Amino acid sequence: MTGKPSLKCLTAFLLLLLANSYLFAQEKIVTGKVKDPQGNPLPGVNVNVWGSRQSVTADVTGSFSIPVPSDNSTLVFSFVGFLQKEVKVGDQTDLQVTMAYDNADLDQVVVVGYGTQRRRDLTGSVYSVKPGQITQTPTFNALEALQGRVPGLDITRSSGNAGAGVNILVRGQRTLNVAQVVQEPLYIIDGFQGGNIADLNPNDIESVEVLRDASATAIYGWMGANGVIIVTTKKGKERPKVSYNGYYGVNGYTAYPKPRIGDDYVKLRREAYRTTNGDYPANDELLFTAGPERDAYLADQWIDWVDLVQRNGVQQSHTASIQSGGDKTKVFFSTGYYKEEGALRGNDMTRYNARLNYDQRISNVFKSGLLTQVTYSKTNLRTDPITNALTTIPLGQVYDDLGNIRVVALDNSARVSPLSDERPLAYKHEQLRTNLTANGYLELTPVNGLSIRSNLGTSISFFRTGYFGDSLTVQNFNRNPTTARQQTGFSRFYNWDNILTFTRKFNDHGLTLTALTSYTRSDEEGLVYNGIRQLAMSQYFYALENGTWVANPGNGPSSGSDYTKATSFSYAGRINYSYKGKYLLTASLRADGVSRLAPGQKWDYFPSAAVAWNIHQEDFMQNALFVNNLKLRASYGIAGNAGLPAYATQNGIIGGVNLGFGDANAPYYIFNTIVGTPNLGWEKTASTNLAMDFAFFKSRLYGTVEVYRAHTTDILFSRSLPQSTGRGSVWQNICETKNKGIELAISSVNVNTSDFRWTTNLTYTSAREEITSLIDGKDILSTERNSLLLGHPVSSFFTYKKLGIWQTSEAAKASELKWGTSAGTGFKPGDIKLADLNGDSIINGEDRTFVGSTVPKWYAGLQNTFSYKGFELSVYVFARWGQVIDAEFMTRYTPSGTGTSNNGPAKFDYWTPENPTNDFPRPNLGMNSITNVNGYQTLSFIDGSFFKVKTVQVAYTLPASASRKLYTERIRIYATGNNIFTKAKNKLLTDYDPERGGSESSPLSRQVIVGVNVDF
Amino acid sequence: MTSCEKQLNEYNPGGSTAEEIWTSPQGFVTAVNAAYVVQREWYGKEDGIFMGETGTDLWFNREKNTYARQNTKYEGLSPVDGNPPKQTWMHLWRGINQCNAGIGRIDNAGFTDMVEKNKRLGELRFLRAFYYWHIVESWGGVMLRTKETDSVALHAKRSPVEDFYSLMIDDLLFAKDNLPISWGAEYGRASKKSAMGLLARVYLSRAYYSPDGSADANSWFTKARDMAQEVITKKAELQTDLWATPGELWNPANNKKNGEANKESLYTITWSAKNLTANNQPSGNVTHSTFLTLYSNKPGLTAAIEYGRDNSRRLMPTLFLLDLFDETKDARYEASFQETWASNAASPYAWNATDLTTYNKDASAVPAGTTIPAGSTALLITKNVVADKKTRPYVVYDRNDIYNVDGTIKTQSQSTHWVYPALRKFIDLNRPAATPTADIGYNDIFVIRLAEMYMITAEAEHKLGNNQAAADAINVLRTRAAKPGQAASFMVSAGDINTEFILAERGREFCGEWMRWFDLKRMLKGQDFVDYIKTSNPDITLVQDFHRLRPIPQVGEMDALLNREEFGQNPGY
Repeated sequence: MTGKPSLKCLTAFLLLLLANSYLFAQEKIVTGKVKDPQGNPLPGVNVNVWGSRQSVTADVTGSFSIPVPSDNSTLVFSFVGFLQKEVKVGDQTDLQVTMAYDNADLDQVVVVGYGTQRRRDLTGSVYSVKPGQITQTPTFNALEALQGRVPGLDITRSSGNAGAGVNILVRGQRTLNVAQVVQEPLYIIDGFQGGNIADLNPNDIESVEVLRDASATAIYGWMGANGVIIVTTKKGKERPKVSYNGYYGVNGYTAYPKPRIGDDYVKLRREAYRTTNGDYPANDELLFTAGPERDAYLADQWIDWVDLVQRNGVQQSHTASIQSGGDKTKVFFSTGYYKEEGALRGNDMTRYNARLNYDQRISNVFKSGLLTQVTYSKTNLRTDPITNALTTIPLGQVYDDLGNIRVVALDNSARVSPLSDERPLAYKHEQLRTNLTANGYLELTPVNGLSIRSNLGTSISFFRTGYFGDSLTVQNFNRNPTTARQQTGFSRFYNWDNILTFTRKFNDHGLTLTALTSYTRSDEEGLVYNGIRQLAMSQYFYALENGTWVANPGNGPSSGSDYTKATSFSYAGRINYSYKGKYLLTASLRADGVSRLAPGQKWDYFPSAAVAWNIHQEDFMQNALFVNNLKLRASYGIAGNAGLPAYATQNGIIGGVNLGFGDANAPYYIFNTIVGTPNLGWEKTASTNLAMDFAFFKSRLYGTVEVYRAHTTDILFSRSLPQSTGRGSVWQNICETKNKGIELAISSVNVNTSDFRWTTNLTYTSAREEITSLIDGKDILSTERNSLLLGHPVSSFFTYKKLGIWQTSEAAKASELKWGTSAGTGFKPGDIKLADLNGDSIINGEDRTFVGSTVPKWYAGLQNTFSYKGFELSVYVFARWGQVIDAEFMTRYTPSGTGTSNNGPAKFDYWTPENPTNDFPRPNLGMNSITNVNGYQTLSFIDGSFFKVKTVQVAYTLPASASRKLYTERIRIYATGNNIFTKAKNKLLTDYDPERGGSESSPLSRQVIVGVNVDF
Repeated sequence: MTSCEKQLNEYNPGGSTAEEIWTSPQGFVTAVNAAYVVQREWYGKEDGIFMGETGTDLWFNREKNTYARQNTKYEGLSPVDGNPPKQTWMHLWRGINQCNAGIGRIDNAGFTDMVEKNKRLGELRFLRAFYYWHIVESWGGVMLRTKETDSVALHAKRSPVEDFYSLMIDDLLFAKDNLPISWGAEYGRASKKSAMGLLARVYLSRAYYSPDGSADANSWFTKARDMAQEVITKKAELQTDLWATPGELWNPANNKKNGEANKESLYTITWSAKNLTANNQPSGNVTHSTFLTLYSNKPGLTAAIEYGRDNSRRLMPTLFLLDLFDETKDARYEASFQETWASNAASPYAWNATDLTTYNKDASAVPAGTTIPAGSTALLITKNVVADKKTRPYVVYDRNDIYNVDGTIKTQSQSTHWVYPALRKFIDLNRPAATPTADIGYNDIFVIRLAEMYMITAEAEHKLGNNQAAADAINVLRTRAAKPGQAASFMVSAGDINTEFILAERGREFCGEWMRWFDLKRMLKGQDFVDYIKTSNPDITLVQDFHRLRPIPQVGEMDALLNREEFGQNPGY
């Protein structure tokens, strides 16, 4: 600072000047009284003249008196537990101010489909998320921050990779199509479709509304079938505000099973030897193949590959924003930077955002605005070597004498080093993505109560993936030569909505009519260019034309392009009616047409209706003072789903060139696996929702209970055809499912004194899904992971049932049970004990059964926030219980333990005559893969219930006086730990975060972050 | 509304439909080519070897491991387990559907040149018969599909084996009459000799489904013989011939030359080393590594193209197979099996104390420091007994190290060793020299060789009671198989001919060539099948009569069939 005296002096001078100007400008004194919604005086409220350091506290009668510089001054009233309120002084001198509870505020305006409503007028299931909750979890993706905070919204992170998204389901899985896009809810950003939620900077978000029942989503027709998530970004304010939000921390400390190493590893091989040969080897040396393997063993060169491939990366985010404007113009501008380094070296994601929201009132009739955003992101990917790390022999030398990574740790080994991709110039996989969203609207209000609005939304995305791997990378080693690829995609999305709204109030009757048309169109184009045998490694995926196909320069690298177009057209109408604000009715009808369904089947109609009753406004409730809100809601509606990809009704063939006779090429067109079906129609979901909203004891206890039931019929499914047809699958309207559930959101203000405050938020969801009918009247059997089973959820597992491991004492019984056929081998102690369901003493296809589902029995989030003066501690725990996961690494147990084959997790307890565990079968030299063990399929499916301390945050907000000394309005600093503790029900998941869902690659990591929020 | 409707029409310039592409003669060729795609899943990948060769008298898992044990030793072979039957079932039917589609659509392809049209139809019908022969011989009388799948098809009914053969014979007769003798550079296409060769094989297989000795059986045997003889008599016209010696036949340099098929091959599945885009999978033909032994970890040796890739070795010969050969007279042993490896290390290897112990050397005869010079023998793995193996200055394994006296395989627990004489028929010199451990291979596969026509003749003649004629046919092959000066004593006479002998001779001639399981299945029935396998390959203990058919896959086929109970699994499974 000493180097810049002039700046310091100048600033001090300017501030002195400002301070003086307030003193001199003092003109009048305003008095007033602050009350709560019941009309009781509110003592202790802080009253501040905006833009100055002038503030007072209301006394025990709620009265205050404060000098203001002019009529244009604004007073800001703030008090813990109430919404901040701003009042322009104007010509008033005696202000009567009523403050609203910041919880469950019935006059809060919530965003609904094609409009807004006061919370008290809602008939559908709309859950609002407060702005602060979204930025509490340090993530680049706003949806991840909603995990467990919205009942009925089941969110899991899709992988631990930098920039990975989330899997999200609103009220469970109803449809069968496993394609993510079809199960995802509809995202509406500022009233527009088509933006990518992952592109949004969470700091730009003002509020999020989740629409769950048919009444709330019906106005979106078929697109709302899986629920709707409405995001509203920040708008300009008359009172300018400049903010900075930033954090910095570590992403890592990943939980992952340790591989066997040292004596633990040798022991398994020893046991395998014993099983096969009847006795242990004369000495351990005999277990190892002569040459590099045995040399490494004798030299004690052990390697913990899992440890070597992981790191702790850095995660940081910086956002600056301005909210500004006047009577007619409002502007919000923000710019953000986010960077996350994954747990693997070379895996990172950087994102830059800029957003400009501009609203302009042109006259009393015209209003228009632009909501624009540009996002650029760069992601570096890695071929996840963690499976290799877990299964590669833990012996050898990782580095050569010069410290370079050796491609194989053991000479002549067929197993590539998991670190091979980290060699200089060996590997690069880079994705660039740019998205431009430009949404505009024009709104006319020719007469009071009538509004005509036209929305034109566009979203344009460009991506480029560049991939380069030399012949010694994890992917190519011993398989492919140097390969390189560049792939680009260009997608356009247009959305044109025209909405007419008419609102009229006469006497006790309130009426709102909405009519709209909606058109969407998406075009996606892609281009891919493959190179092979690049000459110069430093060219990476550029100059692909320099690659060669050996000895035949005439045949260049391969390329391809594709195009997909989908359109939809819709009409909808809605009526909202209220009588005396007590009795509410909503009804809507929407007609949807989509291109992807077959001609003649493209159009359908989707109705809905809902009623609500504001009980607390009835006369008979007048004396029930402790009831602040009590409302019953009921809704019914039908939603459609065209859940299949474009062109699925067409019978396609796919071209290929890589075939030849002798040295001559032979281009071919071979059948697509999908057989086209000309009569596919709509899938429909009829759902009923019953709910109660309540707030008691001055709104210190409030919440919502909802129960729902959804019945989906004509579900579209790509079913497997018998292989003897020579084709793979066919789309059919195939089955029915029923979903039901109960959702609970309860918040309470447990302690509320002027210094100390403790609040609790609980969300709980318990849901059931089942397939109630299938087209053939019986189960549709396919693989372990995608069979359809009557009476069970869509996402169920179907295989043998594991009872444990056959024990020595059961040898006779085990040998009577045969594998496969009556002539099959009998089981032995140490084999997996499988349930013989039909009692025929043969374990075969008939003994497969339902062994679990990925659908949890319940999931819940519990947030406790404690604040004392400026300090705040919040603890957020999350649990997901009763689901079975497909834990891939369970089959990484390797019974032979031999060198060229596999290693596996150290903690997996295997059977030996002396160790009668029921976890894993006996080691055996002959079983060089787990797939040789009869019934191994069942090992993967285990209970994935877990409980996790998702977020712990400690924050401190400087007192207003202190922050103003730093020339800011507000400074908050915080430290957050994310994913910090996980406890799985199943002991086999001790070193694994089960939220990942069982996949062994890209495990979830932990984050420890410090951050600051500053408003100027 | 109509303009809206227009907006909702699907526009798909990136996709293609059969109606767009296969409706011109030029476009239709792409449908014919597509029909060839899946044959490379059987010929060139491991599954086909396991389906065609294992579970027989000739092979067992190396080191008695469990790889594909459902096929190699009938352990746990079931509708649910055993990848080779599951995978090949799926691929073969894709081929059938592609052929059916082509055959059904060719009339709408706009051909004006009837010769050209019938050539293409001939290819499709050849391939349909080719795929169906694999299906019916592996799985028996399952569904006989002759029409393209174009709708939701979830039911199937069984057809008798005889119906499959009628269809195949019709198809092949058409193919024989319409396919050209040569395709020039595109020699991987089915030609006239391919159709004739397969037809001879099909007739022979068909004969065994009629009662032994019946007039009907004899009529099929006669057709088989006549067709095989026709190929032999017209071999010049058909542009095929036997190589003069087994050594030339299996010399990897002769696998293909100048873009031409190997002259002994009647039907060839090709890969190209010159034009990699002509290979539908980057790894190409991986057969080269299947039968190799672990040589590259032995003193003085390192992985090399000429010795092959030993990382993915799968199968070892049974003692029965090795002992089929009298290598003093029969050049086929040396042409088929490798017993010695010359040192190829960069610098001469010097024995050290550990290795002397490991390889059981007499340190007084081979003192530490003794070297193995480059080019001299580094490794000998022999089916014979080597009395002085302890004192030879290189690694030696003999018969007693590998096999027990009863013909079972010794447990070589110490993974250092893991050796046996290696089948070298498929050594591939076209592989990229830089990466001898990579699985890529580009050799052509001879699916039907001219030699098979002699063996078909012999087998049919034997069944027709003409053992002298059978011996004559076999002696043609024996003449070229005999080592110099041994021909006279190597000939057989009518008295030598019986089923066992024909099987033995086929083993000597065709071991490893995707055929053995079909030979045993065809010629041996019931307990004979079981006893023969158990005796000759005593490590196989679980084989049963019903194993003469494979199980129909549960997942993918039975599970997806709505009338699966009515259709029924193959017996025994």
